[in-house]
This record gives sequence, structure tokens and C-alpha cells, in this order.
Amino acid sequence: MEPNSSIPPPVMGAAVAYPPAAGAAYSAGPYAHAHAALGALYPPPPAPGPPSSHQGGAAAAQLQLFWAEQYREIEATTDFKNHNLPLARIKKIMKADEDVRMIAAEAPVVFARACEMFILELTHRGWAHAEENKRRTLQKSDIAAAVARTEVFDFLVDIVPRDEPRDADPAAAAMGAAAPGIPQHPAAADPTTMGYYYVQPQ
Amino acid sequence: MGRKAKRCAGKKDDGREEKVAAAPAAEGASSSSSDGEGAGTAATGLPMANLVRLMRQVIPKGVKISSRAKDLTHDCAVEFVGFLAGEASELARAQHRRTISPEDFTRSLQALGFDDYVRPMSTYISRYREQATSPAGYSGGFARRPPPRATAAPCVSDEETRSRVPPHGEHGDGWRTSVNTPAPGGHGYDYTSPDNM
Repeated sequence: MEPNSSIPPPVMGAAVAYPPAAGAAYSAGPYAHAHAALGALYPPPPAPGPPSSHQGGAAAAQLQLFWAEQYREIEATTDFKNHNLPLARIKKIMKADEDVRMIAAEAPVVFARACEMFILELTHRGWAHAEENKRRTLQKSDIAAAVARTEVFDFLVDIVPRDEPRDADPAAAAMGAAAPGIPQHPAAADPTTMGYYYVQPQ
Repeated sequence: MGRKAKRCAGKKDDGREEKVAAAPAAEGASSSSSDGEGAGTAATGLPMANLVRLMRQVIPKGVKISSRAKDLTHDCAVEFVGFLAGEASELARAQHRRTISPEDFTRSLQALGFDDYVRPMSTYISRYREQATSPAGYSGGFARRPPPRATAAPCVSDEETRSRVPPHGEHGDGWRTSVNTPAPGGHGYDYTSPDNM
């Protein structure tokens, strides 16, 4: 406010030139929305202090775009004969569990598609972690971090090697440090994640 | 047997809680799962090329994927299928059915917290059944090939001449006369013949 008052002529000029655009741009809502959109458009944004909150919003927006795209692809599917994953392999994996005895003919097709979506989501989340660390190579630690961060992926904790949590500890610490900076982030999730990390070393 | 029982128990616990697993359950699951995973990985797996192709669909071009990241993603995918199959099997049993149906699958997705997957997969199942019920693509099984056209045999002038010679006697005589003309003696004889006629 003071800078604006200290320099009245430029403010007046700006107001006269673009009154509605300037006001709209400067207000939090439209600007944040625009920034979120830009964040969605450009995957690898930098990570200074203020943009961190925007980056969080961008990440959420990217994930929503990911699922919207998935649903669109599902609806657009017309060829059910060609799959990215072989059905015979899927069926073998399903039958590896002795509890699974009889499988309907349609089931492997559905499982294969769900497995595709799972691989896409896991890779997408892993890539987000790689970007946060400013790397252009998807590492094992990125996949491990994606598993650790996603509650639905808890069943994979056994698959993720124990060495990775050590590498992930800095990430957890970073998340802890970032938490106070991002008030929107749910406070309940942090203790759970940190607790989970503590359990693994034991 | 004991290990397998532990594995089942672990899965059930995970299913029931539907949240972060407790420490003891995790430990039990880890031990049994590691054994099962080892056997599973050795016996069954997914083609790595297909897996990498899928991974590249959601990352920018030029991004590299380490071999360890590929292997870990592969193991996670195999565990995902087994995990869902086990849950779907339990749901089918609860309803006294022995065959796992796609509905059991969508219900297991919802029970295990994969809410984002439920709607797309339900749509996928519906569309798949529509396509299976009415196979519009299959029209006319066998298409007959057109028979090869008969090619006309080439005509030889000599053959035509020979074939035409018998019916036409005069023409034959003319031919002989023309043949005899070059010889001088023949010429004399030929000249004499007309006089006789």
C-alpha cells in the first residue's frame, strides 16, 4: 500500500490504462487460478518458497487432469482385443494365490486395465517426486516415495525395500519442514506418515 | 501352510482395517509376502517392455527410467493384481460363489480404497460387455476369391496356315506353285503344266 501511495502518478496511469485487468490480475482468486492453470500446463516449475504452495496446487491439479484423462481414455476405448498387458500373464498372477480358484472370462480383461491404470498412477506420482528433487531420471527412490506418500498403496510397503526408507527419510524431513509452510496441507496426514516411517526402521 | 495362512491373515487384516496397517500386521505380511512374492516373481511376471511403454506415457519425453525403478514398478504391479484378486475372491466366497466376476473386482477396488478406479472400471466393464454381446465387427466369415481369368492362347501364323490348307485345295496348289517357281527346271515344268491343262 505504501509503495502505491508513494508513487501516485504510475498507479493512476496503470489504473487508467487497464483498470479491470489490473484489479483482476492482482486479486488472489483469479491470479491463483491462472497460476494453477499455468502450473498444470508446465510440468517442471521451480520450487522457491512462495511457489511451493502453488506447486502443491499444481500437483493436485495435475493429478486431477491425470484421472480425467484416464476416464476419457476408458470411454474412448473401442478395441478390447489389444491390451498393453498380456491377459495370460495377468491370469497367472491372479491364480498364484491359492484362494483364487475360478475366474470369469471377463475378469482378466478388467484386471489388466486396472493394472495399467495402477502403473500409470504410480509412475505419475514417482515422476512428481523426481521433479521436486530437480532430476530428469526416474529413480527407485521416486517410486518408493510415491508408495510411501499414498495411503492406498500401503499394501506395497512390503514390496518397497527397507533401504529406500532411509533415502526417503530426508524426503519425510523435507515434508515435515514444508508442512508449517503449507497451511492447506492436512495436519492429520503428517503424523501418520511420520509414524509410519518410524515403524519401518524398527 | 503356516506361511500361507499368515499371508491370508495379513490380507484380511488389511481389507478389514482399510487404513494404515498396524506394525505387527505389517511385519506378518512382510514375511509371508516376501516368500509369496519370491515364488510369484519366479513363476509369473509381466513383460518389461510393455511395462516401460506404459510408464513412458505419463512422463515427459527425454526422461530416463533407471532399471531399479522399472523392477520396483513391476513388483508393485504384480502385487497389485494379486492383492485385488485375493480380495475379489473373498468377496465372491462371501456370496457363496466360486467364480470371480468383474463385479467382485469393482467391489474389491472400493473396499481397498481405490475410489478413483471404481468409476472408470465400471464404465470399462459395461462397454466391454456391450462389445462382447453384439460383435458387429464380424460380418461375413469367408470371402471367396474371384476365379482366375482364362488367358487366350497365342495364335501362330504357321499353324493357322496349316490348319487352313486342307479345306482349301486350290490355295495349297498355289502354295506349291510358289515354292516351285524359284527353281529353273521347276519353272519349265510349271510352264508346261498350263499347256497340258
